[in-house]
Amino acid sequence: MSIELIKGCAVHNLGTTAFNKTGDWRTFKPIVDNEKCKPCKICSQFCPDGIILFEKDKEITIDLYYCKGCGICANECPREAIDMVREGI
Amino acid sequence: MSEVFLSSSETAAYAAKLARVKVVSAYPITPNTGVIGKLTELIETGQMDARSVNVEGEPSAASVCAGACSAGLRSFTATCGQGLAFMHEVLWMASGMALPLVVAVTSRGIGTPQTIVSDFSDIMSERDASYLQYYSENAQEVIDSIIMAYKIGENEKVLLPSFVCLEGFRMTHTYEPVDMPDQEMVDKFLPDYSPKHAFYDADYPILQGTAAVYDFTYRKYQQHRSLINAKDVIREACQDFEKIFGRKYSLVEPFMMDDAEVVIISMGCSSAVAKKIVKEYRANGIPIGALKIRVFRPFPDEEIKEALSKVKKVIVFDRFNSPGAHGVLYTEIKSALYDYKPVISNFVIGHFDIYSYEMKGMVDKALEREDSFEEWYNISQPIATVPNEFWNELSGINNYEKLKKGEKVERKDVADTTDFLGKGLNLCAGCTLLLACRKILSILGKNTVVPYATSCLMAATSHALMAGWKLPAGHYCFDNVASAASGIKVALEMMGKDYTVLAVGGDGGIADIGLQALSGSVERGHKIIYACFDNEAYMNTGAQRSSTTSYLAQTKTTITGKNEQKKDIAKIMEAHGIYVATALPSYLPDLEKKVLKAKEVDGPAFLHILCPCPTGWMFDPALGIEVSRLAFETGLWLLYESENGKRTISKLPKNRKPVEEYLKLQQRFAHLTPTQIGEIQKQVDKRFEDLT
Repeated sequence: MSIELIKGCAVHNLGTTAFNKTGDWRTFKPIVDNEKCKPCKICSQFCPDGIILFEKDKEITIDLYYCKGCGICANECPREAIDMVREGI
Repeated sequence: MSEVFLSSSETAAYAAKLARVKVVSAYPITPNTGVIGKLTELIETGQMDARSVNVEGEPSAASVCAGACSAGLRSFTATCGQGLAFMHEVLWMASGMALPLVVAVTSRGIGTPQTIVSDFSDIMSERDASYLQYYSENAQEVIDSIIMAYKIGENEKVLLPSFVCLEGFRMTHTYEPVDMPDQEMVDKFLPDYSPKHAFYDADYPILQGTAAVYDFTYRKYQQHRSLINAKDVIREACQDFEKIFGRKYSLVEPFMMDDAEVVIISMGCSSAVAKKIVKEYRANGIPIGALKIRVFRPFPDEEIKEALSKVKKVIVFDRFNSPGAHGVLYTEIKSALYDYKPVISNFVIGHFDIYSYEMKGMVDKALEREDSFEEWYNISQPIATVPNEFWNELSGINNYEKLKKGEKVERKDVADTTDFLGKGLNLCAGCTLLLACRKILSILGKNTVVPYATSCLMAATSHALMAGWKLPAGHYCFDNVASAASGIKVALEMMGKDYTVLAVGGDGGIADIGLQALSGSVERGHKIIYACFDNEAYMNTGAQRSSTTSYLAQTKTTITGKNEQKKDIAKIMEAHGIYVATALPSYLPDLEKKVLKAKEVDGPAFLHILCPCPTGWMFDPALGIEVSRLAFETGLWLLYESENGKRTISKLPKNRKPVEEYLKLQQRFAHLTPTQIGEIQKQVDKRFEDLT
């Protein structure tokens, strides 16, 4: 499947950066301790890439396909429920 | 002389140092940043006796150089692409005023589409600006050409500025061994600049930059004659140069031209490739030679005729084609060879890096054919392959085809979107700008049009095959986002579309190069929200100082810390009598309130958001929100709104923390002494008291 280029630098299909697996950049991976997590959603608010979601308003999911591992979520979590763990160890 | 290993960017900077340039002024644009970074280093560490003026846009860089040169000092700038185009008027002014400054052009294509790859569309667009144009093949030629350019340009028979082209990335970012000339040898070759035609002296007052009465065409003729005269001056300078430095140069450089029946003509670093394949052909007994056009203006007709009078076939490689006509170099070569009529063919190679096998393929083709022809190399529409897992989600590939046919288009790619910035954006991990922008868009919602300036955000969202927006958005230029927004708003109003227009820019696009457009647009009273994401430097080009960089902060162009204060763009906008609010990505409810207010107010609104940048400010990416919070808690960044000239504080820190807590997290402040920290604390205290 492929995208064709339209004359004049206009794009008629948006959000195609979604192909870009920024998760590959990650050095540290966020690991959530579900025991500690009381879904206050602070991590979700502050995630620059908007990839922390709370399903049914409860369970936290982090989309690791895109997570760049910046660690803002872990740093902002008031209950220290997120640990940043080195990838590949 | 000593042999060193340098990039062409660095050699350009060293050339300016060796030429004893006194005034340097440039504006950050990829790929010239290596030149200005090295110059800053040389000046700030005392290795070069010159002043560097960090300006807010390319016209200013050229103007600073022209101003300094008109006062009587040698000056130097470096730019490319859009930057050279933006300088256009000032370039013509400088040649008209006979100011022999030197512009290092780190060539880059002119957009749209925005690009950082190199072709000659920038420098060729200034073909007729009455500049001497040197095209370098390698780093050695860059250093030698710049030194020679001053000698030639300052000759009273010439008195014109020069471009020295070093191809972007192909040369600016590659390293080579270079013979670094000794200062004494350069001093022997290049005397001090002591102009007799243009300078400022109270005891001998003169007027510069006159308007034309009946002399306009005569002045143009003068410039033309100066360039024609320059040919002899160049020839002499090349001889002098050879005597001192031992390296031989001329206007053109013939290579294995004896008995050649076919000749490859090129400019810039692809000439090295041409030489390589010529050797291969010669090894197989095929009589081919190469001719490098080193000086394009003045155009060396005589040398070209002499070199090619007996040649049967000429193959010209052009990095730029004049749209609707022909390759620019090809046209001129053809014209020079009118009397001899060899078979002349043209390959437009544009921005492509040409490997020897590719050039050989093209030459083989020209050897096989007997006619003259023109061909664009490697022209096919680039196609992006979409991974299957995304195909359903983003299918919309045929949207345009359906729209043209008048069919109903179901936009799956943006259906039910609440997050209007896409995922997978190439912005650094922990980018707080991305967070703030995402938040603002989600508050404003679907009926929003976003014109945005050149910035990190633009670079990450604006590729044809990787579009990062999910609402109507458009990139214009670096300096004109507010004006483009005016046009969009007027048109939307006329079409009865009640949309919010959000003009987005960084501190460069809003407070520096874009300030004129912003002020004009705001003054006209369009109902537009202007958002300045202030990360306090030109981060997209590698963290060069901007006017909103903090006092004493280290950047690539302020290695020992910025000596000037941060420009208070919010106060400037307050003076326009509009709604102004300051915000931080760490206080999102406050940001939300202000965005909604900005949407409601009758007239323009300006949002100034400080966005800590982990890469440029050099802190742990996990700390973006913490740094942002500390900016508030130390009183360094005040959260306030201003409407009708009345300022309201949104929120005050309970117990103000010492500013050191904010500074110590960032490497850009690591060099500060306790006294300097004390000084910043005093300034923060004063501003806090003034505003609260």
